[in-house]
Amino acid sequence: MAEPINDWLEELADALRSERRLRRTRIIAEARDHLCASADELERDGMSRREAEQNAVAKLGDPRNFAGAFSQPRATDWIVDTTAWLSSRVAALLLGLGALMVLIETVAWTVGAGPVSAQMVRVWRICPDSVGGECVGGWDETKAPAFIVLGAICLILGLAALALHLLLRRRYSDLELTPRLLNVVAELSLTALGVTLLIGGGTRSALDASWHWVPLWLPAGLACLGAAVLLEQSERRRKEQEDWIQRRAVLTSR
Amino acid sequence: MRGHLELLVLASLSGAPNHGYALIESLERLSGGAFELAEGSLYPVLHKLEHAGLIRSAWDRESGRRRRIYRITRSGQRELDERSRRWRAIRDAVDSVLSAVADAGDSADALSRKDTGLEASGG
Repeated sequence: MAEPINDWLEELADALRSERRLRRTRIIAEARDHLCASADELERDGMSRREAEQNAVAKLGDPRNFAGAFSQPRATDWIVDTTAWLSSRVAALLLGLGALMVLIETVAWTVGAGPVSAQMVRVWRICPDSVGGECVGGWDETKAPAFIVLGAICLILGLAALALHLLLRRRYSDLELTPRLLNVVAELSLTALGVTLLIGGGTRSALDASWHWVPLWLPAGLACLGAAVLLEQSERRRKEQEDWIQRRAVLTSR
Repeated sequence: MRGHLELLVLASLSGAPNHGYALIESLERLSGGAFELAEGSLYPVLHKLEHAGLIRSAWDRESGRRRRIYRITRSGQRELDERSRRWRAIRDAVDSVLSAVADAGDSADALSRKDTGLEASGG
């Protein structure tokens, strides 16, 4: 038995196969919503379900024309897709590496083993007094263990890659507000950690003082990032399930 | 009509956020049935406007069904104001031309009637 709405949607899906997955899913979901609403109304006006569906798809027109009216994928789209994909992997790698370095150093510091890397690098330099733009009495150098500086740089670069990924994906995203907010909180927390490590750390005592913030920013940032990823996944699953339920409802309503 | 669909969609959404199907009904109702949209033409326009940042959308649940609700953005509102201004300017200009032509036609008719009358009375 022919199923006008499902048949139409299958043809539409076929016509949209060159579109991005997120965009294709969205167009099909919207078309399904439109067709169901239209068929429901026609059914209320006295048509049989089958007639109502046939009329609804006729009003929306040929699925190939409908698909063709959306902008065709541009030549630059693959660059956007590839950059978005790569930036998410680079972000995960750098953030993981940075977080690991900071954790190792934190544990080493806590158990009194001192910096993992004995080598100290200059991260900041201030001039206590200057005359005519010239530093008088020498520079006051701020140093931190190389391992921490490297970890902080990894975190900051990872956040930059993550921000790029979110920026590229945002236009095509169907995500709700909560995962987006969690992403922002995660970014801010980890940025605060990176900043604390890079410019908050000074002499060993200053670094020691700023170290108190690390147990706050790192778990907060990582927890938010993890929660955002989990929410995104569950939201996608929920939407797929809803689509499936809606599809079943259309089938069983006959 | 097709060229003005973007303006009409922006105008309709400036009143209240809406989903695609309701937008079509709303435009038909607001135009007093004058605009019978080809239903398939609306969604590409909605996507184009969203791509341009003039509207934004999100899924919403209404009567147990998930729907994409569209809202106008601030830049969309500015664009609507600008396009409305341009539309009114064009409409006024066209009205002026039509009125002028109609007036000229009326004057010519009056002159013609006058000439005919003169000829009739003189002849």
